[in-house]
Amino acid sequence: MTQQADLSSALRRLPVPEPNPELLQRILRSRALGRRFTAPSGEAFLSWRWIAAAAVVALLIGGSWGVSLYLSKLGQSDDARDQVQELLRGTGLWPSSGDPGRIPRDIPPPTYTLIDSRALDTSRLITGVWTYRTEARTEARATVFNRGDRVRLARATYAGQSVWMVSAAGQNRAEGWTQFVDTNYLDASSLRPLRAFWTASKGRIRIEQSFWPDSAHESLVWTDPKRGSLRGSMALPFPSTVLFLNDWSTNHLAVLFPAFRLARGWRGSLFQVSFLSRRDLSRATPLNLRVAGRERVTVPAGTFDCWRLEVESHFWAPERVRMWVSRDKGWLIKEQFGSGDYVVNRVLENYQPLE
Amino acid sequence: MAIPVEPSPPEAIGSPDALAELYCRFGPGLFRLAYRLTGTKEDAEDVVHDVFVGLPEKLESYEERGRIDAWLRRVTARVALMRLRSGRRRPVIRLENADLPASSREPHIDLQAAVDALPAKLRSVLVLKEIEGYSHAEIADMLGISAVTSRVRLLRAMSKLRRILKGSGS
Repeated sequence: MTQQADLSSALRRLPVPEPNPELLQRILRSRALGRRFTAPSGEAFLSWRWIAAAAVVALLIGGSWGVSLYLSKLGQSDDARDQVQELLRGTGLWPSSGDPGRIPRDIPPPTYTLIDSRALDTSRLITGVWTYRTEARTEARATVFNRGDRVRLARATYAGQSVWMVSAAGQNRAEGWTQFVDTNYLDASSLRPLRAFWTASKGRIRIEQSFWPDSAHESLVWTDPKRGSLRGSMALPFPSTVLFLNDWSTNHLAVLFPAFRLARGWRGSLFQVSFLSRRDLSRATPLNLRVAGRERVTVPAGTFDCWRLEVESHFWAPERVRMWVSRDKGWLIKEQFGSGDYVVNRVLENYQPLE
Repeated sequence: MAIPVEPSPPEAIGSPDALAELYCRFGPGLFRLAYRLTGTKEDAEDVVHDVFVGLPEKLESYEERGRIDAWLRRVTARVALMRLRSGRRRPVIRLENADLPASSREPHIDLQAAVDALPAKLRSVLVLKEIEGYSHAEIADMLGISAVTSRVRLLRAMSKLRRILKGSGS
């Protein structure tokens, strides 16, 4: 037997003490007291490739807004666009050719009938706070890289008018991108946006949006390190009776689904309108949704009988997303994009009613 | 004939009886792994405690049917290594393997002391490869290193171990 084999054999024969016989009782006592332990997220055990992949996805899901807002302080000159392009190159937010003018401008028409605001059942909306967790999964390993996305729906009054107020906040603590907060006032019956206020970079960047039946206006103001502002307007390219979102993400949609009255075979389209003050990004793109089936889904918030939706987004680039919406509550339970060995999931962690 | 055990649904695992059954079945083996990685009985007990306290919720991410023991060992190894990295170890002074039964102490003191003297990075690979039998690919996966780095660390661990033992006259 070789020296190495002898040593290996001796190592395996090293004795191990017995654990304290009270250890099981200690475990059960901790559980009974409500103590919980979250096993390591895996961040410390990731190779640099997965850390890089998680960073890219973090930018795709939320960091793009913070980064683009921060860089928009550079103005709309060619130099500014070049600097923006350099920073976002390789993130998937800018075409690989590096030309900012190459963001797809050939916006396809909506696939399905636009969702009529008058057909929405706003009586099914409920107030509360929904917390989502985003994770990237690569080859059966899960990495949580964005925690604590919160979406809040409440009744409010704005300018003497009864409205729905949708607020969203999120922060990627692991990757360090800045927290963003938005507050949106929606018409109580049509759910169309009326006014919206966004802040980022701890208030150093502020955006205000105003919406009328056929147009929208936005001002973007930044205060650090230099002061500056941008303004922009858009004629809304759709009738005043159809629903639209003033959000490039699905945060607002998450709390509005109950009003859609989803059913087998349901399908509909709506427009996403955003970045009005950025001439190079300002766009209204269709979001096409289709109920494709039923599935039972388990997430941290529980197990839900869901409608599975196939969603096609065109805001940044043509992208297919899968969504699972609870059949009885209408909550967005899970959202997924990607395929093969790289999948990103956004799952409902918990729901809390408003006090 | 042994009947393969499928893990119970997460909501059932949280019951004291189910958790106790899992502990009785897998706890001793997980404790041995945690002890070899952390080096002290107290830290090993803390690791096993944390693993089982978080188990019902952690099982939501379990996807390997029929291989729950391997999955539990990986979780335990990660918790132990996380503990080593965070430095949250119990300040225990080993008194000549006082934890061990008297009959097993003497011949193993030198080797155990030599293993304990290894840096944590080298000891982890040594334990996982030579004692627990993981492959370098599996170790790389657990520790977030490459398989090549795992091989290099094992070679260094064995070399250092031999130097320590030689110096102690063993």
